[in-house]
Formats: sequence, structure tokens, C-alpha cells
Amino acid sequence: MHTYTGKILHVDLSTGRSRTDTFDEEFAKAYIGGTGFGIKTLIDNQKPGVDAFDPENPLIYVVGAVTGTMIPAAGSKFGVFAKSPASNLLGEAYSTGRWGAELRMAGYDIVVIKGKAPHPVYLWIDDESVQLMDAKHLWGKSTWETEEMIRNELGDQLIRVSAIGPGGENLVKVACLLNDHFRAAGRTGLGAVAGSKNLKAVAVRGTHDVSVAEPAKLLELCKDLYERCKGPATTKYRTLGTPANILTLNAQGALPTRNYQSATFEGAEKVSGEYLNEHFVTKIQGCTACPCRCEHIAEVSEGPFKGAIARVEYEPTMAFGPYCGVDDLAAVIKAIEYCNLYGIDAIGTGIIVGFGMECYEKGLITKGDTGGLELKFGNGQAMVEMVKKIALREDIGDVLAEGVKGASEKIGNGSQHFAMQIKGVEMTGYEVRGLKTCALGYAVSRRGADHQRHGSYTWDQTGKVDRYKVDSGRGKLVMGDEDNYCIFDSMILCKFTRTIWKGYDEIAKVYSLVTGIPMTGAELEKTGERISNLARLYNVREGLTRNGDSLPPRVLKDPIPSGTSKGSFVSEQELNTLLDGYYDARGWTREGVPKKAKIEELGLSAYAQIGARG
Amino acid sequence: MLIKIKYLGPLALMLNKREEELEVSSSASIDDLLRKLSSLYGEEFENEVLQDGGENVRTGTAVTVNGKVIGQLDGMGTRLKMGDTIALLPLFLGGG
Repeated sequence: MHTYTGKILHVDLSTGRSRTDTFDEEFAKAYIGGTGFGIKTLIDNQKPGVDAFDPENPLIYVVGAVTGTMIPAAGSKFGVFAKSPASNLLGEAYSTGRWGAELRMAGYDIVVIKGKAPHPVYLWIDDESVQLMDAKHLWGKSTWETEEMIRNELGDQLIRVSAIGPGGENLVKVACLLNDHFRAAGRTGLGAVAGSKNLKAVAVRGTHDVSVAEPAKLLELCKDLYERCKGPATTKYRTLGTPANILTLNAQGALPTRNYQSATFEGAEKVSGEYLNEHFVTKIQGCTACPCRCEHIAEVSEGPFKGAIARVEYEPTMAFGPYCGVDDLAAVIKAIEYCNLYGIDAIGTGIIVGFGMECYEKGLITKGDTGGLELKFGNGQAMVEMVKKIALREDIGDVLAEGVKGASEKIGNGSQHFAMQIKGVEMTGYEVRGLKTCALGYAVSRRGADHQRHGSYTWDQTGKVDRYKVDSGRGKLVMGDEDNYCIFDSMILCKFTRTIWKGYDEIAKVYSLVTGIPMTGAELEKTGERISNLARLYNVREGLTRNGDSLPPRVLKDPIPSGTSKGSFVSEQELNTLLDGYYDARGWTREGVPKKAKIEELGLSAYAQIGARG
Repeated sequence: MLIKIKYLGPLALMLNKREEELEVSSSASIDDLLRKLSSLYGEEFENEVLQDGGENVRTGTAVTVNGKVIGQLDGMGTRLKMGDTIALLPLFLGGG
């Protein structure tokens, strides 16, 4: 097989030993790469029920099937997996930039890191050479300092570094792993898993070639794919970037505002993609092998946040803008910069700060708790300071560092009603009260509150369904979206190119041209279903039940107060209709457990004991 | 009759305007409006808004009439009324 190295690197931080294992074509075809490899490796390498911070919880890096090739917008994708400290279920996050291609060129498709080092270390993978390096001098350093210091001390500026910051060291539940300055494996708290292992970073340098099975045919197809990538399908990403969503969502009454108290924001214009481009964007750049060039680098040139720099996307802009009631993009950029430096997820952190602001306004926390900060909605300066306090666990930041679920359990006094999380993972930027197909996608998402595992808002916003109503047929729609995204996340293809692809058949063709392994569109579709079911089996094994497939109380009780979606919410009855329809479509029990027949149909018999009978 | 059109995202950049008022016939549909705008603003606009030879709204773009997406009305055949506000906006899609 081509492209795949067929190698798995196992590293034990407790003993300092490493070994290389291999996988064959059968494994590759069944699980593709990316999320398929990640979930399969996690379920096979993690003892059931261990705590996320137990040394036996493996931290797993994977590359996609086409990582390191010229497939557009897929050149350097990689994924990170572990049991999540936020959800105690599947932890899963993706990043891009240049790190992923470097790992494959070093000779590995999967890296499994277990154990706990006796003192801070970083893992240095230099082609076949694998070493644990002392990182005591790096502990406490920001992600950017860490990246630079590792490159300097190893004497190679082409080394790629995936690092944690103080957030990961302090076991903050939204800690992430940063690489290439602006790219993060952001969600589900995997930086904290690294921190719990005393693992500061994984540095990689690879010099091997990546071969493809049919270079001439692949080149021809890629010429067409690149042209499609530069066409109307990606105009939004190339011009305004994802922050274009701010005004669109505001117009549709679907922009989460002030901790989900509203679905429209009166200050939307001032935090829009249009305003950002005009006043703050200094550079637009892209990842390895990508013609889309979507990264909008924004810098603050004056005022109290002068000098702040960040890659600005819709989600963090929403989280630190409308969600915190802040209409000052300079403060938003500074907050994102702090998240990058301290190594905490900018989405989750913004949602946590918004939660803290509502607690403050309701008198559940006071200035005495916040270290003197007036943590009210709209106070950009306090928001920025609170980001730092969360990463460093200072004052109320120590409580908020547990995520909104953990923090609301500690704060109590009814705060759980407005703790916007699912399965312990903070909500993302879509007001699901008026996007009810999307709401189902959120409720059942394998990694907690998330739009990225299904993208089911498309049905709602194109009007193919009535977004304010539910029916049991939505389950089949979400299932199809999830299985499709499993393939995107296994290949790993950037979802910004989602509309350039001509279905499973074309992706299967690319897979075969790259790897040399025969694959049909139908086989690929079935593989997506296999991966979705394997993820569910993992989560069921770790304790997920139907009760976990839910929505925040505010979504289930409080109608949207104004705007296009005024009056809409998802009732308990509606949620049950959606869940029943989804489980039925999946061939699962009404408790959300895969049935034996489905497990066997998908070639997952090795996990039959986790599933239900029948 | 007079209607209002709002442009969001890349379309607003392309046209260098966020909204405008336009005179259309009293029996005009969304289909008529989009064809009229395409002839007014040319091929680049048409490629951003329409596909399938102009039969459908391009995947990635949404069209609403008074805040309601045309997929929940009569699609391209949706009839317009005087004073309607039509919005042409990019789909909100996350990813990466």
C-alpha cells in the first residue's frame, strides 16, 4: 500500500521506552485514517473506565489517509484522541498547518503515548530516532515560546511542534495543543491529558518521501480539484473567512448571544467578518497544499490591546464577541491570542467566560471571586483578564477552569440551567433552539456539543426541512451527515471543501489513486457508518446512555426572546422524537446502544459484548 | 413594484453594496429576480448565486424572503410582493 507508512509508534513515558508496531492493508481499508484510526486505536489501547488523567489513558496522534499528498486542503491534517477530561467520553480534536505532513514524512501514521513522565519532557521524533527530552525549562512557557525554544535547541527551524501551554499544565478542562503558532487541536481538553502526563510537546521532523500509487492519474484529478477549490464553493473562505457567519447568523436569528440569552446581537456589525477585514486583517495565508488560503491573521494596531495577533475564525469571534456581549474586535483578538499562548480552546473558553458573566450579573459570583474584575457582559477588558485567570487557575478562574459543567456544579444556585454544554463539552456557535435538525446533531454528537461531527444545520438553513419543527425523519438526515463527516475526518479532508466533492465515488477514487487500495463509494459510505458505530461503542463502554444525548436546560425550556427565531425552543417531547428517530435509523436500541445485528453487519464483532442483544 | 434586496458576505464585497431597492414586475418570482440580477451584474454574480444552468440557487448560498428561506416557500417559484425584503446570503458553515 502507498502513502500509508503502516507504522504505529508506541511511547511509554513512564519507562522512557518506545517501540514500533505495524498495521496491514485490511486495517487501513476498514478504518481509513484520521478519526477511524483514532477511535479504533483508542478503544483497543485504553483500559475501560480509566480516568482521563490516568497514565493508562493513551494520547494518540493520527494522520489522515491523504496527509502528506497534494490533495487540496488535506495536505497536513492530523487528529488527536484520548479519553476526554471534559466529557469522560471520546476526546477528539483536529488541527492542520504543517505538523501532520511532517509526522508522515518521519515515518508514522499513528503515535500512541501512554504513561506519565517523572518530570516534564517533550517527545522528539526525528525520522527513526525517537527520544524523550528534558522539558523542565519549558514548563510554564507559552506555546509560542515552547515552539521557538525547541526549534532553537534542536537547531532546525523546520521542526514542527505540537505543544501545550500553562493551561494544559494546569489541567484546565478546555486545554488544547497548539502547532504552527495559530493552529490548534482545540476541543475536548486533550491538552490537559498531555499535561497530566508531564508531556509538554511533540516535536517532529521527517525527511522521507510520501509515495502515491498512481501519480499521473492523481495529478490530472488534482488539477480539476484545485480549480474547483478556487471557484465559488470557497469564495467565502478566501474573502471574508468564516467570520462572514456573524452577519449571516444574526440575520437568521441563530447567533448565540450573551450566554444563549438571545439569538441576535445588536453589535454584530462591529464584530463581523467585514469589519474585521477592513480594520484588523493584515495577512491571509493557508496550510500545506491548499489553494483556498482561508487563514485570516488579524493584528491590533492601537489602543489597550495594541500588538495582539491571532488567526481569527467565526467560532472564537462568536465566543468572545456576541457570546460575551463584546462588540470590540480588538478585545476579541487579544482574548484569542491569550488562548493560543496559554494553550486553551478559544471556543470553550469564550463560552465559559460568557457563563461566568451571567453568574456575575445574577449575583452568583462577586468581585471578591473575580479578583476585582467587573465581569459583566460587554466588558472586553474583564473578559481578556478572565481568560488568563482560567488558564492560570486564579481566583474564580480555578472554578471556571473545570468547564461550564464542572463550574456550574460548584457554583450551584440554579446556574446549571444556563450552563451551555452537552456531555461536559461547551456549546459552539449555532443557536440550535431555532435549528432543530442541527439540535439533534448536537445532542448525539460523539464528542459533546459540536457542529463539526455532522454539519446538520445545512438542512435547516436551506429550507429542505422546517427548522422550527421536528419529525422522526431528521434522524436519518443526521446519521447520513455523521457518516459522511467520518469519511472527511478519516481521509482527513478540510470541510471547507465539502461542496467541491462529487460524492463518495470521487473520494473513493482519490483514496485508491493515493493508496493503491481498491475502494468503491459504497464501501466508503459503509466505512463511515462503521466508524460512527465504533465511536458509539466506545462511548457506551465508557458509560454513555440516552440521558447523555441531551441538550442544555436553557435550550429545552427558554424560548428565543426576539428576532427571526423568536419563540423557538426544543421541548423535551421534541428531543425524544428526534432521538427515537435517530436511534431507529442507526439500528440501535431506544437506549442508544448498537444492536448485535448492526455490529456484525459492520464487521465490529470484536466489540459485540459492548452492544445490545438482538 | 418596489422590493428591497440585501446582500451579505462575499456578494456584498463583489457588488460593493449591502442593499438596494429594485423595481420588478408585479408577478415576479425569485427566479425572475435572480435572472434579472444576473443580467445586471454579469457572469461572476451568476456563478456565485445560481447553478444547474440557472435552475437552482447555488449550494452555499441561501435566499430568504422576509426572513424565511425559499426552500420553505415555493422555492424559485416564490412570488414576490411589493415591499418584500429579499436577502442573498452565504450558508453558515463551519469546518476546517
